Amino acid sequence: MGVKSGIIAALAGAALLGSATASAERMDEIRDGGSLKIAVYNDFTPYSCVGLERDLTGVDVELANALGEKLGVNVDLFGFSAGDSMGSDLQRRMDEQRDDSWSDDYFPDRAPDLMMHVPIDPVFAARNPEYEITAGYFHESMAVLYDRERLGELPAVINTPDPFIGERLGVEMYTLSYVFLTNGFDGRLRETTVNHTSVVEAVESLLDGKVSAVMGPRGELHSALATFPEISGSYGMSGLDDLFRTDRVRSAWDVGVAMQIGNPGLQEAVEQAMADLIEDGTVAEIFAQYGIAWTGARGDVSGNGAMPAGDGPAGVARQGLERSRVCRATVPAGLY
Amino acid sequence: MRFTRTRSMLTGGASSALVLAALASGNVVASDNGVVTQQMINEDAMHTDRVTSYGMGPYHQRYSTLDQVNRDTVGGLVPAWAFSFGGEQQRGQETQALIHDGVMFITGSYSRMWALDAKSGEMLWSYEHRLPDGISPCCDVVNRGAAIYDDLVIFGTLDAMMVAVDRETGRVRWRERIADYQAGYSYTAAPLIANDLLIHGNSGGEFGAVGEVTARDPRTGEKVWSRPVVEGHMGMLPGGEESMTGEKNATWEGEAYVQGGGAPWLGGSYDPELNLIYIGTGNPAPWNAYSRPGDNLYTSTTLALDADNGEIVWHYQTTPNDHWDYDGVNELVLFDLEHDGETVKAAAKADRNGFFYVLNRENGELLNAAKFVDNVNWAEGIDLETGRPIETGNRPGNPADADGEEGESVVAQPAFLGGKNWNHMSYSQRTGLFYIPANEWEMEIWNEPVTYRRGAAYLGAGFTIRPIYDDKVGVLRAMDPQTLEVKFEVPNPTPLWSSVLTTAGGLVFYGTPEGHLKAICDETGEELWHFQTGSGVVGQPVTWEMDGEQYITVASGWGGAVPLWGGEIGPLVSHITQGGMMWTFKLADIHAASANR
Repeated sequence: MGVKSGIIAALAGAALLGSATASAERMDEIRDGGSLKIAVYNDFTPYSCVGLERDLTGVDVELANALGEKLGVNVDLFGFSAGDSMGSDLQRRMDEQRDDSWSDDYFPDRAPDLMMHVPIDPVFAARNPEYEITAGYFHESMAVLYDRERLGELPAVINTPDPFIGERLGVEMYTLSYVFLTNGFDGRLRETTVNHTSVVEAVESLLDGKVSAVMGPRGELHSALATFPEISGSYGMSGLDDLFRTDRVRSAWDVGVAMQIGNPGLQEAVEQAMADLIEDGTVAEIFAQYGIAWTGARGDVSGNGAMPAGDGPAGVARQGLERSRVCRATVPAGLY
Repeated sequence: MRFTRTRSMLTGGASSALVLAALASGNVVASDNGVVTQQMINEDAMHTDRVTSYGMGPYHQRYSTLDQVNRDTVGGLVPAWAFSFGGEQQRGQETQALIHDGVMFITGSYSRMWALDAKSGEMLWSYEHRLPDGISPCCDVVNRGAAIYDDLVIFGTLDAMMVAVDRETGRVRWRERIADYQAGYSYTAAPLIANDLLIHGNSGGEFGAVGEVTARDPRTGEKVWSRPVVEGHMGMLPGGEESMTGEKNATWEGEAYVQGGGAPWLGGSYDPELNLIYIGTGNPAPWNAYSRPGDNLYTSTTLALDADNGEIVWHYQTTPNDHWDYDGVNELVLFDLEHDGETVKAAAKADRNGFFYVLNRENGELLNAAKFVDNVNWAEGIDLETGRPIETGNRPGNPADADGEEGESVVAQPAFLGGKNWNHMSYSQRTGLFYIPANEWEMEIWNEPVTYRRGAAYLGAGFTIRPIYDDKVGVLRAMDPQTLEVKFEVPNPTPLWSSVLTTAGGLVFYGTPEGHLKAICDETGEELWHFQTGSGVVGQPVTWEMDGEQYITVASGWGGAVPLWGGEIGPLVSHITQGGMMWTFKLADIHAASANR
């Protein structure tokens, strides 16, 4: 033991995602009686997780199934645990021939064709040249959900730590928000940063008055707030931008689908199906079912702009989730 | 529940020892009916017909007074028997065998345990723990060994449980959960029997795990005391009263201590006379030190705990505010040192951070310290007045200040796998030297402002481990604790990941990833014997005698952290084949070998 944290960049190993065999286009095999195998995280509320009935649920799960339906093929979902970085999630898995490490998934038949919820970012893409990352379906951005009674009304986009000095701030431990608050701003927010095991737990602390604000990706904040069917008090949400000295740190990014390069047929079919699902409103509807006011991919990683907002408190798209859409690992005690 | 100490001096007479054992508890039977007592464990190193404790005695010296196998006879060492770890679960055999009453007790990867006839290798019973999905051992599925006490064999599992089985049948007598495996905890070390208590730590450093040392009644598994190793957390005294570890927020800011890490994931040693348990703690969490300014006590530290109640008697922190994942779990080996004309109750530790420390084990005072690997660049040395490292400033930069797509890169030595990892050194009473299974490697660390983790942007660091030399990573070093001079060294192409054994026969035994169990001369390092076991040796050799013959046994079965985390070390070891065997050796023909003398 001993290596328990940090990003290990140099793990040897082959690909998570399957590649086309030399002679056959993967999409033809899938259409010809096969199935589309899609990888999703199994611990990523609200996008993909183990539900209350021990089945996979979440935005990405429903979207993956909708993709299959649009393509007219069967979908095999493959849930896996997150590693230290998404690069290693893509790359560290073993191929179908090797199985000599407990930590790598063994694919008895074949590796997945697609992986959901992969950032569309030129730097990330350049580091992972074996993969095509395309079919953007969401624009994610860093945000803060705050208690108006404690902090007053904050601007729609915040670019200074000043409103939060001396306030207890909830985060999910060891996420970007945690590093933001504990490493940045000369440590001025470090002492009042409070770790939680999930964004849902951090939002519960906010509703209980234990913290004044919660920082996290907007989609996760929306869904976490929507998980509570009844709330009192008044909460606002603002975007975070230009908080760091360097513009290299991302505060907004598009989300898409990854596949092994060299499958033009598969790529074209998935891109078209996703465009159709966006066009006919299916994607926005799926996100809304989880409380997230959807916004489409923008094609770049900069600029936050105004938050898209639904009708619920702090702009969430609904209050209270269907029981089948709640994640087992993060369900608040006493609900659902 | 009241526990009375059994304090027997290692040099004490048999009669006083018996009296003390009888006083210890009404349940302890001091007569020789086969059960293992604290007394026997305390005196393990004095007896050559058994190995009743991890470390071959509570001092963890791994030294035997046996000399039938010696420099002259070792050439006649041949296999007596072998036992396969079986099935598809052969990888990662780090166990140390225990031998008692003609029976050998070994553990295997994937939380398994066996009793074997020590003479023939026939299996007497096996225990295979049913592991749930979702266990999270960071660094392979290994297990390092069991403890024996009374009529029980006790070991810990990857899903963070302690399991005690009947020594005769292997049937479960009790099972207790140490911690929640779903929250990232596991267990791979060998537990310690001290003060008639079962002492264990825990494993798991990420996502909020906090290190803790726990004492249990070995007969029932009932918790007697517990001591979290991060300040501000509440421990339990015997009787149930709470007591805080250290002073909250003394060396941690804000609430960072709540998820402070520090898991004591390797075992401890014990001084029965002082009644102190010595155990090392792991690195603080998270890895990024900019999130947690301060010394972060008691992480990366050696702790001396009062075996009666678990209170911290003294501590010595080897890496304050650890930013390199050096961790501090390495074993403290107890020995007597001639220092300024006096015999001092001393102890030594070869730390992952590359320094060899000699401490007074009564009070934790630093007596001496020096590098035991050639390449250390995070600190120039250790200030003998303050006991603190003299840092060079070679810390990774703050990711929040990073410029460019990859911030500035830092090369740190040793690498995070350490100048020495878990595998234990040995102290030879014959030569007065420590034999340290060391590794020379470095790591490059760089910031990654643009990175993603589980579907979201993240600010992290990347690091990769790599060799320093073309021809070696591992180096077995013989170190004099008086002068801190290296008497000799034996290089090895790949990292050393096996424990070391020394004997009165003038021999040092250790294994290599190349598959060899080796015997070298304890004065010159000259190789006198080796045997190819068929897979990498990451186990722990021990020796004992039975019916007038000296036996040596070691587990072979490549695995552990190197193949998982080895970075650019990977190509050096990728050819090593899987296997899993317990190999036991004795002299082929004692008379013929003796005649050659």
